[in-house]
Amino acid sequence: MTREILTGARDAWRARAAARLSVPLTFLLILLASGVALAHERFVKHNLRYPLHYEFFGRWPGKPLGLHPDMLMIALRVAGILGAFFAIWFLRHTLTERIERTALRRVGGAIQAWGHKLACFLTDRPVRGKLFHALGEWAVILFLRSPGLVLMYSATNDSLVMPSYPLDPASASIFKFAQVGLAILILTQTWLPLCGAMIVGTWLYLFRWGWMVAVDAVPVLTVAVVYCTSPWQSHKLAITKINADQMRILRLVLGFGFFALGWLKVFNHNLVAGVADNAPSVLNDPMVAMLTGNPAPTYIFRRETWVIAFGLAEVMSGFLVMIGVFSRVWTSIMAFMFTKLMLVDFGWDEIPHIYPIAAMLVVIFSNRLTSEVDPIEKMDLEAWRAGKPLKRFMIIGATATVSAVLIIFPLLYLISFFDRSGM
Amino acid sequence: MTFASTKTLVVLTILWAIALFGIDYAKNPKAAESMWTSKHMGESAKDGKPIIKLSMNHLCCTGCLSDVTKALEKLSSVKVMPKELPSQESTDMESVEKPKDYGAEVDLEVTDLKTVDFMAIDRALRDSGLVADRMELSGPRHFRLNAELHHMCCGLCATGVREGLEITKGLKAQGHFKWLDSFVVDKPKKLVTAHARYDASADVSELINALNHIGFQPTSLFAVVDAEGAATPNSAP
Repeated sequence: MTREILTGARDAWRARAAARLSVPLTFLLILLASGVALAHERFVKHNLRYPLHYEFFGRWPGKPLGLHPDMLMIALRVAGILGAFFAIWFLRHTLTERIERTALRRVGGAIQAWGHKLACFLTDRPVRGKLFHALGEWAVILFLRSPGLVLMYSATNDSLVMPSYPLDPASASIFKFAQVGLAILILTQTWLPLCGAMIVGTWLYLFRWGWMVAVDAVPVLTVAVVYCTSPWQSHKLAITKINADQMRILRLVLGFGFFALGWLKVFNHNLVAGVADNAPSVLNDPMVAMLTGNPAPTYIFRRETWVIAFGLAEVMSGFLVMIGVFSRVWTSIMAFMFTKLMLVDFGWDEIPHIYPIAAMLVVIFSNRLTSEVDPIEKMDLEAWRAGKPLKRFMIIGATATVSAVLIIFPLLYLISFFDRSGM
Repeated sequence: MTFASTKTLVVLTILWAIALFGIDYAKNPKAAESMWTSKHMGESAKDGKPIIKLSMNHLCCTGCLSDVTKALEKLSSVKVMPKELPSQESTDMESVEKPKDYGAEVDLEVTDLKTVDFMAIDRALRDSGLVADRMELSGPRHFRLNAELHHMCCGLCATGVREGLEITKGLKAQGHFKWLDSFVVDKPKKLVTAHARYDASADVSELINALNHIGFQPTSLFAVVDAEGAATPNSAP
């Protein structure tokens, strides 16, 4: 009983702490979003092996929106998928209920039970099951400790936080020891709030290398959310759960990180194309091919369309995770993609991807997922209960269309005015 | 259980960020405004003058240095920089005190990096009876080393080179090949291209030894500084 009271009090405290933390974090995100583009380059692993056709990314007078038709087609496909997912999100309860009451009821037994679990999984509802619960606990442990491994790996590779950020030889030793010190605190789960502050502080320091480096590292902040809202006596606890408030901020930061990274890819096309030059197998990704329309290997803008499709796919998945629409589905796709990149395309060099994969596993196996579109869903639900199908159709249609259009087109249009050929 | 307040977290975050900026500034003093100028992370602001540093495990006196100078005289694009060493006469005397280290480093001034063949330097030194333990190239921000392997007669040779050089990745953890970012084996051109990391000093001898270890002797080995695409301007992947 006493334990339950203590746990309840602790959860309430954590919730308050998470809510308070959301203010500076939101401020940081706003600051980041409005960051002045003064500095301009992050570390580029390689220059392009072959020059890109820069005209593709610029203005095309006379064409719709002044964009290259193939770029516009990719953007339309992405907006279409985004809109469709929005629409299905609002209809998910109706759809799953219908399937469960008709097809699954007829089959019955274990298939019905598994079908119900699958429906719950896909629609971000709690999934009951020992295995799911155990995997969720394990994912939290991996997520909280994996940054320690990544920091150790970076230190042994003369890098800061990520292997793609080499350290300045003059200060390398101090930074390496600092990283190892932080890694020890993380791996032993000691003073986690301090670890969180150090991670956010290190991220702020990354601005010294330009805003692109800092944007690139936003996903690193995800774990800082949990660290900052953990107790000082963290070393005495087995932290295996993340409460709903922590999960909400974690999802927002993780989603925003990938949303921003996606736009960064579209903006800094040379970097992404350079990576593809060094690992051509990434050009054959099936998901990206779906957006590009799978052009022939001889197609003149093959790399250019791949860059846009790759970037916008990340924008879409990041945005949907950020607002909590099919979070499990999108983090599962992203976890699969990252695992593929790590094991198939890039190999050992991408071993630090263990960290984002762990963050995605935490979302996938969480039973405390919430959504930012709940107020709209409430309006939709009221219209449904009131028997107003037209109003319902308007709410769903308008939300899906407006979101899809606003998320993709204004920034894509704006970016096309910048000449990024010299980046 | 005690939790950190927002105020504590903000203070700790700012202190840590200031500490990192402070260390950075203390180790690389520069004007405040240049702290924020754009540049690649961990990289110099501009290309430096190329310098080749030869680490010789034996270079005890001016006589040795004279042999090195004479050996490299025939290579027009490099010039041995003067270095203070005990004179040959003094080291030839019976009463000479034994040095702690018989080795020394020699800097080579590079007049035209494009024409510097590292294999020619290696051959010239060996012909003179000496050998460089390390040949480090530094200065350019970003460069690659092109080693021509005259004997790469078939696909299996290329695979052998590729697989053999994979070991360099494992050796990084032991402090070797720290400068190496990645390598590419081009069978039609009979080339191995080793891409150096930004701002790294590449130990060319390490690459030559690795190629020797897997059974190949480079015919020539040049450093290339131009953009990677510039070599093949009209090609497509």
